[in-house]
Amino acid sequence: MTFCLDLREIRDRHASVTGGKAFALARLLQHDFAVPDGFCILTEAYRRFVDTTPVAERIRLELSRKEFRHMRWEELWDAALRIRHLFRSTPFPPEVERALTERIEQVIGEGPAAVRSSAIGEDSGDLSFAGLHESVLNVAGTGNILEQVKNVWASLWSDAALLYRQELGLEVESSAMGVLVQRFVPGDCSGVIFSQSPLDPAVAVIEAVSGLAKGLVDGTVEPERWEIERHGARIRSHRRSSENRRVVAAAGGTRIVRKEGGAGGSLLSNQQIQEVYDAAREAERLFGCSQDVEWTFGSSGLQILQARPVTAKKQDRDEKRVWNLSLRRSYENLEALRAKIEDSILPGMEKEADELSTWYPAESSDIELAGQLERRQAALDRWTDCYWDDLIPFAHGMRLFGQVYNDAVGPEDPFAFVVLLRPQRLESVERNRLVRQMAERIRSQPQLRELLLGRPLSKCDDGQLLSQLEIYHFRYGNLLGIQADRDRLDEYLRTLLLEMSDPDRPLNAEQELEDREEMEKQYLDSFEEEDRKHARELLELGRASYRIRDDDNIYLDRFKGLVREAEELSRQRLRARGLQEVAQLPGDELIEALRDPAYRPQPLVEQVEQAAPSEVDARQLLGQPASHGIATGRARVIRKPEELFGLQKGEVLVCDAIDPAMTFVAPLAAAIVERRGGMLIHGAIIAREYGIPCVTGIPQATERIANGDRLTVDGYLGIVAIDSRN
Amino acid sequence: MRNQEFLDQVGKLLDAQRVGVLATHYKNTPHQSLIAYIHSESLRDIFFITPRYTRKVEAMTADPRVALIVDNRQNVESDFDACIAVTAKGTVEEFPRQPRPEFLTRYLNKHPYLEEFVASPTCCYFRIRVHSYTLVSSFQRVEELILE
Repeated sequence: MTFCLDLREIRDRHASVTGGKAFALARLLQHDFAVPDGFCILTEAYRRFVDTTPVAERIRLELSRKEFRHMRWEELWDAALRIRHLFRSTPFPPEVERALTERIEQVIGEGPAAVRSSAIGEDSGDLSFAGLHESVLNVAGTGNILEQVKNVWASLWSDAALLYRQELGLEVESSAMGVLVQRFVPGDCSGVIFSQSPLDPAVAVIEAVSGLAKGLVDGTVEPERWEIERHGARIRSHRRSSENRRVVAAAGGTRIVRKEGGAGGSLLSNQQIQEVYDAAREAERLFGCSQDVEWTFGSSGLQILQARPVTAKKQDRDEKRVWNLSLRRSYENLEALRAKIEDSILPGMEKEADELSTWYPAESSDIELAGQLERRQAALDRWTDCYWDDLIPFAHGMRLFGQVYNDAVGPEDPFAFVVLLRPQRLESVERNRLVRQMAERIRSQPQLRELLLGRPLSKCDDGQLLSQLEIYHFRYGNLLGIQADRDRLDEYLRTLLLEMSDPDRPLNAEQELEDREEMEKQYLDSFEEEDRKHARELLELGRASYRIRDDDNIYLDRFKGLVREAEELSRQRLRARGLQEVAQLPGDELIEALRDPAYRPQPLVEQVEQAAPSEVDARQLLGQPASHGIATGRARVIRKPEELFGLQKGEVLVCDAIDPAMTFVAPLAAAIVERRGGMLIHGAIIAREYGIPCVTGIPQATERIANGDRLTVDGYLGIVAIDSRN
Repeated sequence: MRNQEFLDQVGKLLDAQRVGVLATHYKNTPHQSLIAYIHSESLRDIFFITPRYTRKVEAMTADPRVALIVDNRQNVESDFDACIAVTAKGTVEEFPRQPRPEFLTRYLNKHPYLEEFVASPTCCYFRIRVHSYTLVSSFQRVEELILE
């Protein structure tokens, strides 16, 4: 069995075992183009690796946990991370390792290498699949190169590749990946050329950046651009770039740095432009169609790094998928996003929420109330858009750190890094702590507890508890956005506090994360001195991402609460005016009714879809094990926020999606079961903090489980067994 | 058929297949489950692993008598003559997790993708002490060997 072929040995018959990238480069090399020396690891090596180890079957098990179409982006990412971990922790079959080692030593030696994916069918088809798979630059040493080969193989199953699984025909049995290992060229100036622009067939387009092409390909560095007329090779246009950064080779990889002397003059001389253009046209003649060529100028002149056909790619019409794909961000992009969120978005949200809160409804006219409701609704809409556009994508910071941590430390549990993300101060943790302190106060004063069994919280005579209650209302207010006045909220809180202060049933304790410092040290120590600063920056980015992920919901909930408050008041006014059917009236109709005394809302036509009744009963549900442990208890299914206050100690919390505002009940719950899937979602994080089992990603959890069902939640295997129905 | 010949056929089938159907009963209701198994060299014991909080564990705790059927059908016409099926009947007992049982290495050799599953503390290990094997071949040929 042949596992590797030198680029010079590859012939037409090998196209199906090299992947497109390696095959095209081999042809270029054999036609005297300047291509860095290298070899291709054939798809047979990949197949041998996955088929003779448990890898293939483990991928199958991973992907069969849930119907694929029901998997959310976060679940795809978690699956991809586990698969990557699986590849990294599985040893090569000895014959594969021998063949690869021999070839690396022969062709690459001690110098640095580029390890690139060369997937079958990557550069063909209607959609552009470029960028789904991994390529790693500047790797030196046989051991490191071998390790990167596994990473590149694993990227056949990257989160983005999984998103396009159907189009790629990605199947465990038949899919495979070739890998290209070449001498690494530390280019001074690099870029891409389209030998024929997809937008204007009369021109070729060159884009160039200082340093490595990586900065251009991943969109971090803005390129300089030329259009060259294909007839006569005259430069038609030239757009300079104000970019003053470049991607360069750094210890064990690449780094983005500032260019000395700022943006400076043009990156390419006329002669170099001609050289790049000639090479692209030559490649076009060789392959018989227009080419998208990646190139670099190194110490030995122009080198061709990649060539593939320019095809008129169709736009992906699946908006959700395009949005999902946009969540993948580079470190630089995430840092810029962080600055925007911390300096502008969150303070902006807080300022506007404060301003809207200072309005006194009692003294307002109906017209003023309509204006206020409109302002609040507009603010909520605006900040909700911002939440989807900027805040959710920032969650990728945690993931980026997770991957770096796993590569550096190689932990047994691929999600161990989450412990390091936990910050010192989190809005929801502070609030939960206050609720807990109130419960402890009541528990320590049996007479107070006795009194509260028959009296509202605000009527108790305990100064400490009353001042804690005031702080709670001032700081967190109507955090769950429940449609209720303060008395009703106090009543909910009283029920919860009585349950939490039951002296016979101790609360779940928060876990002490004592290994945190040791873990952080181990992570930083695994980097060379000069890279430690960046490692620390990545950790900080991950922490900011975790913190903001938690806090942003709380900020947004303030606007939801403000809208509900104004809506409720509007309904009261309209009822006083004699309009009775206002309970279900949407915000815009409330505004119209307040402004126009003659307005009569249209009666609501109820459209209830009658689903066919199902007699199929769920007995055991399979999800993702998100927090270890095992617990049995009665189900408390949460469909409305106020139902949370009815949770009793030892019950299993079953809900659609936990947001941070809901986490105060964690000290009572025996376990958490959630419809939304993922390892980094709030339910999973809070469960780990309290050491209670959690299973996430159970489709229709709140419909398939009923209140009072007796459940056993297995947080090791991700199983929820319904032991008996209520 | 001689004992050894019979046992060779049983052993060959149990080696070749990965999963079988375990039959239990609980409160007068039959229950069946697919399980991944291995067997001892002597064929006296069959081992399998399952999550603790399942119906089959509940049933086996109440009554340890079980049957396991393993067959090699391909869902083709020739199954009617070529397929063979073995039913092992016996008594099941839970096997302590500590110290690490010897059979676990062989179990993971046969089912390496189950490593994480096996390591979960919510899984429990079982051994069937086989009392008899029934071998069905050529559609209707039925032979039985009582071991105990």
